[in-house]
Amino acid sequence: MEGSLLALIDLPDEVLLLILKNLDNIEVLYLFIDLNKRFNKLVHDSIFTNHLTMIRCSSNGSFDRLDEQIHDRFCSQILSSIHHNIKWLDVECSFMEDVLLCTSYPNLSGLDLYNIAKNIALRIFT
Amino acid sequence: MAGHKIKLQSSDGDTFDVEVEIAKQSATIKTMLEDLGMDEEEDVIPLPNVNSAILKKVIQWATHHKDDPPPPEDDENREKNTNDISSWDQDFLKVDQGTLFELILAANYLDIKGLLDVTCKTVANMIKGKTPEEIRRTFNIKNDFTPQEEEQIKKENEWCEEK
Repeated sequence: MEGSLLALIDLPDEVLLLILKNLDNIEVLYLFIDLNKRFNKLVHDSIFTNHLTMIRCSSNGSFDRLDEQIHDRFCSQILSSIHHNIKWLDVECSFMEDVLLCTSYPNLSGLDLYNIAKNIALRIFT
Repeated sequence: MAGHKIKLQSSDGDTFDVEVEIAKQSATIKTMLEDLGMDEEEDVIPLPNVNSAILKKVIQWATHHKDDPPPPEDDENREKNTNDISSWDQDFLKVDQGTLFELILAANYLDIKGLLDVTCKTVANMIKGKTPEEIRRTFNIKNDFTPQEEEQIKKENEWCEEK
């Protein structure tokens, strides 16, 4: 079969969304925000920005923090550009301060904290 | 009727005899057959958005999957699993990027959910684990922000880092 010159960027938005919906929101945002204008607009859609799970689930069922490089890019660039859309955040406790202080979240209605130590939870919530 | 065939015509004029039950995996063709009463062997269904090479591949895929159960309905809460591609489909989709994207467009136009799912998952697997720069290189995505727009993004990020 002769090779086609069709490229990813030639696919219509509805198809690109189908592809990206197979990935975690964090990976979609990390890879495609500021990549080019079209992807930038596409990944600002609420389906990718309403609920962010900023943790990694290990195969043994435990929760790990994101890679440092990904976490840093979220705190320095990505979260501030989507903060109005974010309604729910899942955050690893040791990154909580970075995530919550790097921007404002006017529409945040839920926050899940993972790996939180009992003494820290007691200090914050009592 | 088992073995009953129809003719599918590609955008470049080639016709393919295909069993009705295989062709009906395409919701687009199924609707045409049912709504327009096109079920005679001499009827030709034109598919102006699919070329001959891609239509041949689509028929090959549909023939292999003719006895599959109907794919599940979309569920926004389903687990994002891209590791469930069968080894036959993996081999079938070892094609160049252009052909893979043509197959996706054909599956979308013909409304063949199973083929659309598996081709989209294959592209998702090509994306997974890469860096933004690797995504640019792999899919030849050019940065089309103007210098002014880049400056604006940079300023916004600096503001964020200073906070």
